[in-house]
Amino acid sequence: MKSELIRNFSIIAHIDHGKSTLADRILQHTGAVTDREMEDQLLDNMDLERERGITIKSHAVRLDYKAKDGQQYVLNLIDTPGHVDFSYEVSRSLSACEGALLIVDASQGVEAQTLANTYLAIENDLELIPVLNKIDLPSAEPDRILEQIETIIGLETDNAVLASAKTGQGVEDILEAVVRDVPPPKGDRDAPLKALIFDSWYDSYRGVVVLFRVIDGSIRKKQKIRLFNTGREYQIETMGVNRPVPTAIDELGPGEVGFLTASIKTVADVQIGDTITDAARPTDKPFPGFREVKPMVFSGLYPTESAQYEELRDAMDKLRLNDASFFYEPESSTALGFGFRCGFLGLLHMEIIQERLEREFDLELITTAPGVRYRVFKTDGEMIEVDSPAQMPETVRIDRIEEPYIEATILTSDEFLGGILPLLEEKRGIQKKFEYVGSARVMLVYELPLNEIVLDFYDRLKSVSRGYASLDYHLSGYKQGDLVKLDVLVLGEPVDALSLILHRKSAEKTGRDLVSKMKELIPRQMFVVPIQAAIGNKVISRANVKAMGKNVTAKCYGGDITRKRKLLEKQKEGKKRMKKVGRVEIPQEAFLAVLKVGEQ
Amino acid sequence: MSTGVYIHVPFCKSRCSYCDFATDVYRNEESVERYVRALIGELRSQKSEVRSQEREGKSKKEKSELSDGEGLPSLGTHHSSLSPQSSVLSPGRLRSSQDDSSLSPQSSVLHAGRVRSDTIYLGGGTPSLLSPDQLGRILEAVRERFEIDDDAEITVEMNPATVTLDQLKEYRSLGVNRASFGVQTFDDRSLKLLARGHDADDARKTYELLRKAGFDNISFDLIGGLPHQKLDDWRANLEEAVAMSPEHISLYLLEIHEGTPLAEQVRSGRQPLPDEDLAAEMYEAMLERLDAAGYEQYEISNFSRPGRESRHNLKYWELDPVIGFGVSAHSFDGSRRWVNARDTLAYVRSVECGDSPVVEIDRLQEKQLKAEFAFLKLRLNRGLDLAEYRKRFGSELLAEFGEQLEEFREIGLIDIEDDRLRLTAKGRLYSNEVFGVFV
Repeated sequence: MKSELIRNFSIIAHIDHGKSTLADRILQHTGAVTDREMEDQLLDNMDLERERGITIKSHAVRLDYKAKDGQQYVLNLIDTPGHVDFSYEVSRSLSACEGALLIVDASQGVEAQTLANTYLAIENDLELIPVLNKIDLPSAEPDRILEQIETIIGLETDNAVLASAKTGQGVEDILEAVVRDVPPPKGDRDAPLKALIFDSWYDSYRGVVVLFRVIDGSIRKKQKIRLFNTGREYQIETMGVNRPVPTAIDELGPGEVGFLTASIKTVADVQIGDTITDAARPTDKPFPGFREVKPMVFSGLYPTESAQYEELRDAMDKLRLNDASFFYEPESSTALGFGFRCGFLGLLHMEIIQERLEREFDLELITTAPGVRYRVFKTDGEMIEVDSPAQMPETVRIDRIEEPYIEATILTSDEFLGGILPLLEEKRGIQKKFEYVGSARVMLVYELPLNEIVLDFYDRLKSVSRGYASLDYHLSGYKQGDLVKLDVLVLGEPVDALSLILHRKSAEKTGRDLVSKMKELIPRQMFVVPIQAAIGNKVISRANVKAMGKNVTAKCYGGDITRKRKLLEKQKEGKKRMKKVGRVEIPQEAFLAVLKVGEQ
Repeated sequence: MSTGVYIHVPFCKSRCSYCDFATDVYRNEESVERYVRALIGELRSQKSEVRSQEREGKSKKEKSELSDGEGLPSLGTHHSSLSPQSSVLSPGRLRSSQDDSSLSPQSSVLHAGRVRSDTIYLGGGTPSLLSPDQLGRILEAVRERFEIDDDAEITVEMNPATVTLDQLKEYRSLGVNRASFGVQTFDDRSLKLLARGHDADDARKTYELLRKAGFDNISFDLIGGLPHQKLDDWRANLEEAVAMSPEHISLYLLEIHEGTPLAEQVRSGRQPLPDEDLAAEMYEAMLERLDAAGYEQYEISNFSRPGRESRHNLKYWELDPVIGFGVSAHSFDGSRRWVNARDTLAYVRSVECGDSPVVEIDRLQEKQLKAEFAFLKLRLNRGLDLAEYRKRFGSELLAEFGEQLEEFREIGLIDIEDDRLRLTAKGRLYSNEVFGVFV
């Protein structure tokens, strides 16, 4: 395959701006799939992805396209995950390309996510082709949006294409622009093999499938390869390209994109961003930009019924086969029993894992409040990393605590600033940039403690902006913070699953909110149940659950007996779902409530 | 341990607004007579083991026609180890199985000739709508089937304004010696709301008739927790009941059943119900007033003059066998509970076809039997005999549930004395908490 006839590109877009539909149209237009075969949003093949309208894992499709210049081109469309939690994966997918389509909704305009991914593309030296989508809508304002692209992103829009994925308008123009504007891949066919791994997934029939892009040299069937970073060696078993139907191929050269299998057991063995090279003639320099994936958000996952512990572990093992960025280790809680401490790339990643565990494995879970990983410097000079309140040393043994910070970019209309700025203030944000980009549109850049956004930041940002603010963030470093551990005590017993690490400033309010939520949720028991929130030994809030009301039991004769027994069984079933802490039955909702304090 | 006999008579003159019972509004003489014949037919059909062999070949179609609308499981369902305790059967399906022990519920009670019985209870509906002739024929059939003790307690439920003096006298001569009298309340507004079809005066008059006819063992049903009912209204009811001095008083709490006219009114807020705390106050007022008037509480919702406890109803709480006949009648033989067709027509037809009217049999697992044993016996003031539990189940109740019971004992809900476990007065107000331990 001649490199000059190859074009590798991906699509950058905000959720709902029509990436998947446009990808579908491109596939149809190039004949990769017939209309009849067309399954909506072919690239997103997990139910969850389709439901949420976001792409979680990327895929690559090889398209044959005969351009107007009469030449037959190979276009590799590399899909990217569409969420901030997966920005490293996005950057790896982008670095497998020479160009990208920047899709912007012709009525909605540029969003923070588009911006973040565009910057990633620019960092990777990608040629960008602006595409205004949904141009068929009456609300479309192409001129205004094009101006926005120029002012916010600083991108020339001379080559912009006006399109409608819905009607198919502009699809051919897009393909022509790809051929014309995206540079062909460069690469040395005679150099030692160097290929970039940009995605992998577990397939129960074939083992791990690795998606790669050849940089230099060539890769052949049966070749013995080495993964640069891990040093592991494998013999390629199958190799091919997705058209989108997997099609075997014997050799792939510079610029080409394909998949391989090599009896790899789990995706954790294949790190995204790692370099594939030839075992016999390895390259001396890997493809740059590789990073170990590290979890940023942590929470405890517990089965609601302790009998499901083994099932939960098996389910996590299975998910981990396919998602190396998800970490877990056994943990036990006095309130919740045996479960796992889990680490996720971000909040969305956490939600997705939880949902998949519940949906695909039919498990019921209790989640503890999400938190981050702190660096705790003890008075004895030792530094420990703490990602669970239970691991926090006693106050007297702590010298200082550092917490992770993010740099967040928010794009919104200025009418919502009245709600957004106080929220950022409350969340201990430090303003880095406040800039009008186009009329009435504002770009905010803030430094925020990650801990402040893991609980309810998204939801509240959404509600103060009626959904018209977009957010993107990346980790920016660690900073010292005045952090405390807040405990909730029920009948004098600390309920470990309700503990939080938070800033001293918000501890009091959160403590009050938690106590009043608990008061609502803990059913009346035979006796008065005091609920307290405390920092160390200092109680900062308290309330009592009143004792239970009396019940007068109804008559119970022949026909009533079975009914009564069933009623009691049901009552017991309800109690089973409660966790007993000391003498008090605490319902599961109480453990979930900790996730919702602050929403009032 | 004698068996109790329960006979269900589903007819009423009119339907009460809170009723979801197997009750048909009295249509005509003919339908009552047809029902009485079916009842007698059921009482007489008892050579079940023999007939079960004969009936094995019945066609499916015939069986489903006889169904009372319950879902029919496939033939294998009740054999499945996954659902051993419950099987829903169509009338007629009952004895078509190999699993004879669970499918001929009455056989164990019947296997050695006539079973002795010392109580007969006719409930409804309104059994006092039966003519003396009909009642006589039913009791005769009962006596054919059971060996009835000479001093058996024979109760008939009666509603105000449904009986005449002559009728009551004839009932007496047929051996009826106890009347369960559906007074419900002396408040006319409430009676109207409940659509009882009588007023308080009717109740007073009928009560006089009962006494005149020689009934010296009368029980009142009083219903509490009525819409708009205040503590004082309830006290007034108690005063009037105590003044009339029946031998026995049963407390009923108004239960709102979905689909009844009253449920609709309550849901819409037009008929607000007393809250839990008020209901508890009413209950406590009742305990106090009846105690002062010389009644003894012997069960959570039953009170009597000494020696006038309902012998029949005690069987339910003592887990003695009670065999029921008639539509929707429930039975218990010590290890199984079963129930007849819930629809009158389905019941009558199945008996007329010579089929069993039983539609559902529950063979209680030991755990379930233990639970029922515990929560039923604990309803009684005399409580649960730990030795009896030991004998019956071969295990120690206190060992099985000790930890939780100890907690209840500490907070004063139960006490253990003379090898008996009892609810305390306080425990009777939190009985659901205690009962919940045993299931």
